[in-house]
Amino acid sequence: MLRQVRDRRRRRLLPVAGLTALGVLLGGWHNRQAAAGRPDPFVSAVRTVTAPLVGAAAGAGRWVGSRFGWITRGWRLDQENRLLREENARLRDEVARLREADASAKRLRALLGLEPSEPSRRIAADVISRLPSPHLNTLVISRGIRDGVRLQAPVVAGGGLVGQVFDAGPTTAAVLLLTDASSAVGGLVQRADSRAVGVCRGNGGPLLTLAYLRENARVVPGDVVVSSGLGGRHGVFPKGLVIGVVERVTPDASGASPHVLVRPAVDFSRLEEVFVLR
Amino acid sequence: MSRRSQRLVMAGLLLAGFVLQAAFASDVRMGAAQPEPALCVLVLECLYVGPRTGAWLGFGLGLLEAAYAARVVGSFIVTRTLAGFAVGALEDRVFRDSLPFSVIAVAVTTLLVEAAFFVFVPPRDALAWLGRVGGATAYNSALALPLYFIVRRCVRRAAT
Repeated sequence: MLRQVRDRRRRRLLPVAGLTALGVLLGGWHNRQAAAGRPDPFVSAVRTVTAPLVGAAAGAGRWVGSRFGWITRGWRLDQENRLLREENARLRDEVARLREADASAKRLRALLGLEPSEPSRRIAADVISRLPSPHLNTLVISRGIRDGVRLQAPVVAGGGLVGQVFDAGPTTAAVLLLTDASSAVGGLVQRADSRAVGVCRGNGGPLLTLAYLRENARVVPGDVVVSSGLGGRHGVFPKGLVIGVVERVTPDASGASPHVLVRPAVDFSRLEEVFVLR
Repeated sequence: MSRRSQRLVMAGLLLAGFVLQAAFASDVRMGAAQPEPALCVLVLECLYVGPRTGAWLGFGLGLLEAAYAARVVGSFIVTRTLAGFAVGALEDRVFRDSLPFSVIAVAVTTLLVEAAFFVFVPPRDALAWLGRVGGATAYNSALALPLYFIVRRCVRRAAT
């Protein structure tokens, strides 16, 4: 009788022990691949097989949203339209001014003998999955190694920097968002009389922390923060990609660098398309 | 044959739950609260199977979630496998086919899975983590209400 109970317990525990051990092994293998800067073929194979299903569901959701979204948005459209017209006029002025500044910069670079800065090539990709877990800020896109996506490539969207590719399969890639707790990117306050340099770190919430500023750094709410082109935790982002806008500055009582919170320029929960920089 | 078709239906439902989670969970986020329909489906399915099948279903879900998160792969697989096993192991101890019990099982499993995740991947901000866990637990408990009827209907129909 006792033997039967023991056998039964063993029969129950063996599979779960085996599966748990397999999980630990797969996790260890994945970490090793990631540490070596290589994509994990096993994880990307699972993603490649299931991505068409998830992509089709996300596409259907987008289609429904585009056809019937007016039902929920309708009452706001008029106000949104007016704001967009105002913004459009402001942006036209800014584009004209920036074209002029770009031409001057090119001329000055040529005079100084500096190499011209080439615009990055971009790969457009659909977002097929966003934040599969409440604790991780990642998304999966519909382009992979076959399309030219490489590990650690910066990812941008209309408004600014989104994050960085940290795992890539043949047809899909996973992107680590700026807001993830393990994300870090060199940041620079764009205002000409500040130019404070720090590191923008995610903490899992909606805001980023601009850390490691100098004690006398001049940062005020409303300042635009762009990538500094200096090293981040997982590699280097090109200089000048918009990270976000300073939302709150709390001076440190002990005289150390101020505590600065940055609102990302991109609304990560509404992303539908992104561009991977090559 | 009925047992085989029941398992196929369970795998299909779990995949459907995961697809919904991967494609839409962030669209229905409320503050820090984000639902995990795949975890709800796993718990509800495991109420109708033993610990072995529960562990296999959990392993499958862990693998899917890990593939999309592409991080903390081992933590996803281990926590989901243990969750499936634990809920499946309740078969000898309690009568599981009831709505209130299902909701409680989903809430408790969500808390335990997130607590295990806390151990494997310690968060930088514990308060924010608590908020997300509370939100996910409340959301999953609410989701368990309609999902209970869907899962029960599909699983029972497949078994007959």
